[in-house]
Amino acid sequence: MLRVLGIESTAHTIGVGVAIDSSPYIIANERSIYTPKSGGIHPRESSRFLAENAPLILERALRVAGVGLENIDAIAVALGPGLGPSLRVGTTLARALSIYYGKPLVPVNHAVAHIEIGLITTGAMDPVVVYLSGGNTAIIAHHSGRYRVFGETLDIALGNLLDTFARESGLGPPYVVEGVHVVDRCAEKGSSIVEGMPYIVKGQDLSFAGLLTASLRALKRGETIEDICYTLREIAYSMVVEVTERCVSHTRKREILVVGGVAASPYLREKMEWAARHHRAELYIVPPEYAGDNGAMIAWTGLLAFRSGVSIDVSESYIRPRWRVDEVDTPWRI
Amino acid sequence: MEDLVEIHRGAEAIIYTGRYLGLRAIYKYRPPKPYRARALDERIRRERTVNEARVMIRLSMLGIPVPPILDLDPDAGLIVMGYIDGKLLRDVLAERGSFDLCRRAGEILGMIHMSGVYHGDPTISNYIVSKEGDLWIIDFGLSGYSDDVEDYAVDLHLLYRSIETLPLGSIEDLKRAVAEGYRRALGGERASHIERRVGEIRMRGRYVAERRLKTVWRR
Repeated sequence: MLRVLGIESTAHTIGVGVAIDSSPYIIANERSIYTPKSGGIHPRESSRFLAENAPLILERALRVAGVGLENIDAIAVALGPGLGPSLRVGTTLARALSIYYGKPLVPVNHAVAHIEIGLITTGAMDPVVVYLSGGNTAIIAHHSGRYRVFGETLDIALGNLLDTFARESGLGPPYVVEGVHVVDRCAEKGSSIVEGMPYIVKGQDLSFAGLLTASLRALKRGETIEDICYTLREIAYSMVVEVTERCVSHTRKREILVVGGVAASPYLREKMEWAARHHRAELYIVPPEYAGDNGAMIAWTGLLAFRSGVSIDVSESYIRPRWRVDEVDTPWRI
Repeated sequence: MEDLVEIHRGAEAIIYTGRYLGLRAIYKYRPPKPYRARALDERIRRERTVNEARVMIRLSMLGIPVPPILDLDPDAGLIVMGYIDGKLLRDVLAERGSFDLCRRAGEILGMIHMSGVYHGDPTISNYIVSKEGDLWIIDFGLSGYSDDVEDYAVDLHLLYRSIETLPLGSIEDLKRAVAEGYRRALGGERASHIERRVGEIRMRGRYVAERRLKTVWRR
């Protein structure tokens, strides 16, 4: 049996998971998340938190998996994309384990990992992937050996839009309460569309920055926050669904898979369900425990890569803060 | 409006062929999207329908090869336009990469930009090579008026990117042909200005390895 340990630390989560090459595939998925008391993620504070918690999370993961490091076949680590200071924590840990225990080191792209964990946990085969998180908004499809970006945000990400609006308007932090974003929650009480909020789809790409500015202006102008949240949510999610629809109709794929931290939104799910039905596609949404950043997805993707002969020399294992999903060859998926 | 035959179901609109006053015509219909709030949906469909027709009429009058508008019903989300008999540029290029067609595609985009309009989705799937061999540009669903370099550059970026998806080895040469045609329509100075912005847009995409973290000064 093949066992791979995976380490995630690209932003605000330190996660360690263990994957094996037969069902149930994931045998440990432990994590700890840095949540700032106010404001956004401060890279220095976040990386300090990750470094302080990494040993504990590693220990917990090994205990849950019931294996020792000597029984692990490879150490996988997310080299990017992400925040430099955060990435250095996970890679430092991974390099140390790799050298000390003499285990191969496997480089993993964080975005590819979000996709792979979505595939294995939902059973989707060859979907249009909608990757939504705090730092990413991309519509992706696999084509000739790589995940290709069909459309993406031209400026800020969907999660970034929701969080920034919540922060500036005083709705958060915390941004997500009981699995629902505070902007989503607030929107439930809104009912009318606020004028002048832009809906920007450029070809297959999206832009959210103008929507954020317009929302904050509407707030200053004295529109009710409930209506603004409602309009913001309606516009932002509809934009994502529209681009997804474009990709499905362009690629003629029969499945839609939503992954990433924002995948859980029930309102987005409702809209996506319509699009899926309309295009006779099957909708899959990554289960909540694998939606946000986690170590299991790195372990699982590391296992796939390792099995295809991918590994990296410790001296070459630089972090890659801007590593794009379409730069990664996927030999395990032709 | 008799004998409509559905020929394409896109993400946004359904395209039918039929006859209009005896002419062979395309009916472009934007159906409501139940996933959008009704007020928002009506606003978007109406805006896009009116806008699309308005832009096409303007370009037609300027002699740019776009299908002629025959009729319009904004509330229904319907546009009727002349039918162009031919093949998608995408399919023609996939068969044989033609520098002439690429040059002409760039030139047409340049002419559109010269008239203060951006297309919004000028991929090679939105050009048609007619039976006579003429190149036409269609689908102004995402177009608009602008004098912002950014909008023109996004257009050019989208055209390049769509060429990059071709299964051919001569991608760079085809892109150069597009640039040549574009330059021919717009003049060297303006074209260079826009080309530079295309470079920036590429860099701006998240996680581009070459992106530098320095301020870019713009004129």
